[in-house]
Amino acid sequence: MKQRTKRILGLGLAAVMTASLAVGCGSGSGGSSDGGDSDDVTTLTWYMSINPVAADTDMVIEELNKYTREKIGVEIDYNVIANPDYKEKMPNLINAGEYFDICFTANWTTDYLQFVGKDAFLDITELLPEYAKGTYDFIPQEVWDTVKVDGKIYGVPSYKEMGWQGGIVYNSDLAEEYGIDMSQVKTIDDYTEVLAAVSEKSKAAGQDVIGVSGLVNAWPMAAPYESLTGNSTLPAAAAVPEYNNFADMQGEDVFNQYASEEYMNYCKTVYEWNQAGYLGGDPVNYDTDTANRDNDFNTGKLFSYFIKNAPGNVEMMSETSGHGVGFVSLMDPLFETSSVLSGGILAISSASENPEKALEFINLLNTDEYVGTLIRHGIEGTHYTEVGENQVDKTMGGTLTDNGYDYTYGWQFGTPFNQKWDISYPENIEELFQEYNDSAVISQNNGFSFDITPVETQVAALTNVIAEYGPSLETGTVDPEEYIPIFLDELEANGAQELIDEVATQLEEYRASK
Amino acid sequence: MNMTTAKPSAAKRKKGFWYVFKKNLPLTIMAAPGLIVMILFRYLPMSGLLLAFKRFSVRDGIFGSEWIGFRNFEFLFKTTDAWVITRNTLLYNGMFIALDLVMAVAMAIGLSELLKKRRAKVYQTIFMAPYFLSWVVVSFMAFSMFSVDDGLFNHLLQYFGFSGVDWYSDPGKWPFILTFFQLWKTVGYSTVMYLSSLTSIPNDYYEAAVIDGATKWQQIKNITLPCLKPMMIVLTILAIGRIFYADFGLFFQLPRDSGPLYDVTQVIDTYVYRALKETGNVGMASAASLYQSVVGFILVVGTNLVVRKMDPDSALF
Repeated sequence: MKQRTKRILGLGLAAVMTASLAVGCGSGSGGSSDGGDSDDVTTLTWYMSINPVAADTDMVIEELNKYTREKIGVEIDYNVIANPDYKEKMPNLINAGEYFDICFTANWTTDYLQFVGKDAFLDITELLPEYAKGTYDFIPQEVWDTVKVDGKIYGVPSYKEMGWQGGIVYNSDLAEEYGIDMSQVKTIDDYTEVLAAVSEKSKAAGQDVIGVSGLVNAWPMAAPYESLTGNSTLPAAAAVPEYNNFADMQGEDVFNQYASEEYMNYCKTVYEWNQAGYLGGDPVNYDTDTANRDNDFNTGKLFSYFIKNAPGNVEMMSETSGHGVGFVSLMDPLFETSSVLSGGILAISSASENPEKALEFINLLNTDEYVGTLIRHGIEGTHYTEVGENQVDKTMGGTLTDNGYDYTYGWQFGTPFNQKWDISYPENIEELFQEYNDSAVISQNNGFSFDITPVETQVAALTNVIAEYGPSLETGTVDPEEYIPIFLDELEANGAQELIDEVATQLEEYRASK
Repeated sequence: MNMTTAKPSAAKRKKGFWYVFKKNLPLTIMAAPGLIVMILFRYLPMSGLLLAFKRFSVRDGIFGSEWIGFRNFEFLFKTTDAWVITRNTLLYNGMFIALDLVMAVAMAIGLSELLKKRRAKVYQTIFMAPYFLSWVVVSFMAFSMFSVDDGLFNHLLQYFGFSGVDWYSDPGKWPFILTFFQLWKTVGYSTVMYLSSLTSIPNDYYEAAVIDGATKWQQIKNITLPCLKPMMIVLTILAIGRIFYADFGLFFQLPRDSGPLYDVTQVIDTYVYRALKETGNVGMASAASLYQSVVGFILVVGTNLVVRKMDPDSALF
């Protein structure tokens, strides 16, 4: 009897499990397009990450659908999720086999390479020139190279500024008041003098202005290198000859940037800064609270901070901060594989039933100015007024403060070059972008993307070691003379060399295949 | 646990399944909702444990993905931190269990001895309150005390002429800070558990003891504690089952993810979180959780075995 009960229970359990399994797989192909029933309109499910979700989203999407129905026979089922939630939800949705056609991906949310590795996205190399020819021609080949994995393209990258440029934004009103000549600053070492002056002059004026913040981002700006794993903190770097750095690593294709002289020098410099009190006493905690940081910067309690700059950014900041803002560049822009991956990519699901239609729609986002402007700024007359040919005014001549639909980071939808600009940007913004992109240094191994699978164990352990030592060293909280050797030992013990070897091997294969 | 074992006696063994089923129908119906929930949320998801041995591919699904043996488990042991993680997890949790037991029982007895019952309720509520705070909130409360430039403690220290302490990079102090906050947050809850079982001790025992001239201490030692023993054993065995799960909020939020403190704050849950944040590997995450469950299972069964050897009546199963 007992035996039988058990057997029956077991059978039942197995049956329920199999049933749920079937349902799980089924939902992948079910619940999708109800297209075909009315004049061949295809419904595309689009998961999008953008911050914050605008109030009038439904209104705009309705307007968009009117247009796309006519143009390419497509309707959008739009699922927009704010950035912090998207990062948590989308990977779960994909892992659970939820149906979608298009999804937003980048290395800071729903990682592109990771999900390409999990076969979640469709290989669109062949489809691109056929269904999105305009986009394919418009985006430079270097940018396409960066999204290639094993020579195949799995997503359409956002084409915006090429690469990243490190530097310092500062309060130019204060600089003038203290008589500081910022044009003399070319490197991080030069900045020590500025900080000393700020500290001295502000104390004399009875205030205690914090000299600089944002050090968690600053190390790669001190000595730019190419991050071969796509993650700038993992110890696998390649030198970029244009910057003339990492002399002690010459001849190494791939090296551990933490073992370099540059790293020691940088850490020593910031350690001095912290000892001298230029960083406000608690740089790690100060750096993480960016809302507080921005507030301090606007009210003049903070003199400057490190950022990755984009064209037009400084002009925007001086409008919002209430004082003059200047920018000192520490390097020419660096374009590498990870700079596109850290922007945005629209990928098509490997389970999508209408990849061709999805591509046609992505093509509209990148080439049709009506669609680009609509999705970024909303509906003309409701959310903005036109100013001249290429600009919009989201305040509608100053009458609106919150217009219900406008996105600062419009490039997440495709490319800013296909969207009109708000009048808070300088009029020659597209030229500024052109200038920036022309000055960008293209890294030697651009297009190489690393397959992390063989060394996942090592990366897991290394990530922990780096989280333990990196931030405190790079913000000057601990003495580099004492801690860098310990840090390097720990990295070594947790497989840094194995990671570097693996990167070198894959790099060689990549070069051979090219 | 006991409700599921309605064993038929030997005499009825010959009768069929349906006979027993019909006879126990009311009981079965009563148990059904709980059983269904348990099967849906506890047993069905177990098929996901397969992921711990696979390289997960979205296209191929859980069952179609490629087998890779124990490779997903390697990251837990192949790190130089493996020892630190295990030590911290076990020692902290071991200490929490022991201190929580002693303090909660002491406080429960103390509260029950209070003559003014209304005041006892007020104290009980005060002790219980921290249990409902989220660790994120607690971490900011702690930050307002320990912050280097604006913290309460550093202001006090400086007021009395000492130099401030860099709390978030001084590992020596954190075992105490963590233990304090953990107990502050959870002891109130366990106290209520013990209080509830204190009320079930018949008053006759105490009356008889008073007539025999027993002191308060003798009453506690010879009546209260032995009566509380089953409750203490049950709660402890359950806690030991979770000894390999560290409270993520406590060890991650409270020290504000500060690198210099990892030596004393790194536990298995924070390690796994940091390790997989970058790669998001589902297989490795499943592997870690399977490992925790298996160790927890072995410990629960082991502890129960020991208890049964010493005192068969108190064992959980």
